[in-house]
Amino acid sequence: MTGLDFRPVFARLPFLLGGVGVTVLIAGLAFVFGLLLAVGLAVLRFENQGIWRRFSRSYSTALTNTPQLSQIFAVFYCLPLMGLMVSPFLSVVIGMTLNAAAYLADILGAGMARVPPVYHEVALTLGLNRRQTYLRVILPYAGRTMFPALANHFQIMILGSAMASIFGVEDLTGRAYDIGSTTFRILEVMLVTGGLYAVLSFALTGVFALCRRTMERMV
Amino acid sequence: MIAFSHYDIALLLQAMARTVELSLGGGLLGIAGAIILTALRLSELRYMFPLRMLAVLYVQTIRRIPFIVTLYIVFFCAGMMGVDVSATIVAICSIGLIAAAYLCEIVHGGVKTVPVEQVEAALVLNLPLWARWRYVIGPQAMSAIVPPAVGYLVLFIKDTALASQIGVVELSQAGVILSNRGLPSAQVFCAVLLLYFAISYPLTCLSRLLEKRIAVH
Repeated sequence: MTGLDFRPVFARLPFLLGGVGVTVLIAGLAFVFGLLLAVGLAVLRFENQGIWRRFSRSYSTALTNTPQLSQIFAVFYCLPLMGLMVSPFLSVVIGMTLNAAAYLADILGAGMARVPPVYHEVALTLGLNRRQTYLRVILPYAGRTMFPALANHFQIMILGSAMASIFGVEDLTGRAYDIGSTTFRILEVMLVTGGLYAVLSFALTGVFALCRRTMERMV
Repeated sequence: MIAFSHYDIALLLQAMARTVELSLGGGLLGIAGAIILTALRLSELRYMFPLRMLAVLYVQTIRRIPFIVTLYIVFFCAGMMGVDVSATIVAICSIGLIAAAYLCEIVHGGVKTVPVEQVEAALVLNLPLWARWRYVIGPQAMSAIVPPAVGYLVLFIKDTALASQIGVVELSQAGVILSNRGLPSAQVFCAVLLLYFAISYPLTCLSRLLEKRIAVH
């Protein structure tokens, strides 16, 4: 295989690197909002209230069994029909948030089920109300035991955010495609992009390991 | 009011068949690849060392690259090398490449759960290599491999949606086509999501059942 020429790609490297920021921004926003929704969903599931519990369960089942791409397409095409004109960036973030909430609720729910019953009793004895019990006892415990799973899902979301390029968002993959179509060096640029994603992901693994160690020292 | 004509429904069903084809093809390739990669990683021969390192590097790196980027790389690589294959084959190969890496982690992890005494006992009994794998390691590793492997295959089904980007008309692309034809978007995307659910949900249930029945805790 001859004719690989990386020079045009390296000449546009700063533009490509800027895409890393957009990728992290999309995944980060969707993760934070998804986590907020997921806390709500997980609490609904944990409090034994018939219909809401079933709603939370069905939400996760429905959204974890359909592709994120189709969910974003549904948001992208259906929000304007409801009179909401949102930018592609925002519809990708909304779609990814809804998707992330389903997975994160499953993770948090599993974490909450693992909180020893003694914790609930202690919270009750201390006279904490329900809000305090969740915010100060159950969620911190679930968050800590589930940290590896949450971090892993963030990595999955970084990879998933590459879908944003399909909707015209200038994230890492989107910019790579741009460079590819102006320089006709698409294979080279995609190889570099793949490398950048791998580096980003390895870096995140390091950051999460550091976070985990700091957290363990704090406890 | 349902706005689909029977041509539209035929398109959706054909696209669904394509999605199943992509998942099955990719999954089977992935299983084959995973077995080869695991064999490389577990080999203890000295001259296999570079291959062993390559296998580890492959598994660690490919799982950190988005599926769509891998898909583009394989697609344009095939084009550049002058290999004339359909987009479907390219998509199946890419899914297989990625599935191999993920499944290799699962298979490798599963084999490692077999207690080392079991392997030593089999060695002492002078069982040949194939008998060690067939009667001692295999059956015990299976319970740690099958449930998560089925879980991952469910994830791959949803990744096949990205094959639309290299021109494969599968379920999600059919949704876009119908929506662009002027059918009501809400109905079209509901139908697409429901069809994906119909493929994926039974497998999710199967994975949960296997988790309960045979998984090691």
